[in-house]
Amino acid sequence: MKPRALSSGVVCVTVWCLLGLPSPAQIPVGGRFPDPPKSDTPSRPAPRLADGHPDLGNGRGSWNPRIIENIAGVGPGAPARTPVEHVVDVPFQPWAKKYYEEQLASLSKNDPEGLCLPPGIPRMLATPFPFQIFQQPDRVIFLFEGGTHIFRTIFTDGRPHSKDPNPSFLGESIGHWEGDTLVVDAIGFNDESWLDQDGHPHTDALHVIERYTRTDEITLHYEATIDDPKAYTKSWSTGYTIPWQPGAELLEYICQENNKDTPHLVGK
Amino acid sequence: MKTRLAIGSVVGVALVVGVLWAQAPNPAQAVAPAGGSQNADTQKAKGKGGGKGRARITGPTPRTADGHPDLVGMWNGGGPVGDLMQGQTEKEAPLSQTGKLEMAKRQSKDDPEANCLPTGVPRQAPYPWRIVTDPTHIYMLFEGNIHSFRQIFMDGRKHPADPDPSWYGHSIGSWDGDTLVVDTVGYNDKFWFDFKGHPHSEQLHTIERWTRKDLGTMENRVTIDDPVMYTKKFDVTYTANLRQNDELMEYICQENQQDAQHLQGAAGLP
Repeated sequence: MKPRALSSGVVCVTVWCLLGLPSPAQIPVGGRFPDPPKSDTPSRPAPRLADGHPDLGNGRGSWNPRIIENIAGVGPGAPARTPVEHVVDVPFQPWAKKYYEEQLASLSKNDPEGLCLPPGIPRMLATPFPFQIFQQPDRVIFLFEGGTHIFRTIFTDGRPHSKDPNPSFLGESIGHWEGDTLVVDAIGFNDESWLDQDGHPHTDALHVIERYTRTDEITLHYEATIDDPKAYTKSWSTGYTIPWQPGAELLEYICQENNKDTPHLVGK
Repeated sequence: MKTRLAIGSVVGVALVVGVLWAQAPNPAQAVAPAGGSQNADTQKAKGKGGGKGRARITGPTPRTADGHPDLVGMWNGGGPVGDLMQGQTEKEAPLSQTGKLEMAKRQSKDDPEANCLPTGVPRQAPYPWRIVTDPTHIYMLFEGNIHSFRQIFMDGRKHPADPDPSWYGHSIGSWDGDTLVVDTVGYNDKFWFDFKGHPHSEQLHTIERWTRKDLGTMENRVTIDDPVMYTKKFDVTYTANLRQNDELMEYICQENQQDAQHLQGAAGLP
């Protein structure tokens, strides 16, 4: 049996984040796989499918997101554990600011991800387990190793959003291509997940626009615009890159199997 | 907002429906009436739900460009829910003494499925699921069953020498004529085959033979080989029915789970 850094069944990442508390500089920000080594040689261009669109993976490897504790690029782990492209002065509604500061003060002990609930969007893309993207004729499917071992469907068959979608952790996602970028419009969220580990909240009014661009063979550029007028006075965005791990496959990670995390999330 | 009889996050519904399903006629023979979900269908198939029936979907088996049956679509069933042996010719599984002892001590409250853990193979949660294919993989996406997925490698690889024990095991697939053959090893010993608690060990080896008989029907004949819990290999057969013009909902079992604490007594059909 192969050993692995992140043993399945234990949300050890969260514990490690919250209780280990070595200095941020000592903590690798990589996901399950290390980042690819730095190279002076430019990466090859993104591969393409027969239909001309960029190939977003389709099982030939996995995307290896880094831990991003705070998608606004601030908070106690910044900047080492918040590898985002720009710092955001988040336009909180008053209650949302209070809520966020409470989570920070309690070391995120109420994090829904610690209870093995799906991290939601965009946090599925900032939780350190690999994922794969499969492009089907009428839909794009994401498979996530961890942060709950679930799948996400993005319809690309031209259908509009439902009038009144069931509130859900991953929402209802409609995608289309703008040039080489897959643009995903997601609504229909419940209010049970956080936008990031530091506890930026959202409500059921959340509307996320995501932009996925494979800028070269080893890089997926990700951008999410957060529009939630109940929690924020105006929309704001985060952006970062997700490295490619060629040939990497998803393991089976069942968070709720023998979860030892919750009793250890005690805050201050 | 749409509603479906099986509202996510309440496994109790799954239990009740599973029992109804287990007691229903062979799904292949049952008329699947119109309804929001297989659960409604199952109730109606038993004559409890009333309503107008919808004929089983028929038509030729669709095929992919390479000539193989195209399995892509949304399906109901195809595995045991309440009782591994439901609908089988043999009414009793060939349990070994070890298997009998293990099964006899199982309590309903400990059913992993009721505790939001994966069903494993070949068990199905009473929720629809979807097959997705690409040239090197086949995926099974499950609405229920902790809303997870199972991956089957179609690239000709072998099993690893010492796979990590897991809920879905290590699955490699190949085509035998019009039948998809899925060979799986590397299971953990934690999941149950059904509500009744039919056991298995880490030595479990399954061979599933998925045959899309026509547009609306797919047969799954499963060989169960586990020398610890059973005295011999045996086959069980189930039928999955196509659901058209429908999509999987998001079912998160561990969200506000109220089920396990209410389950009492020995494992079995409640």
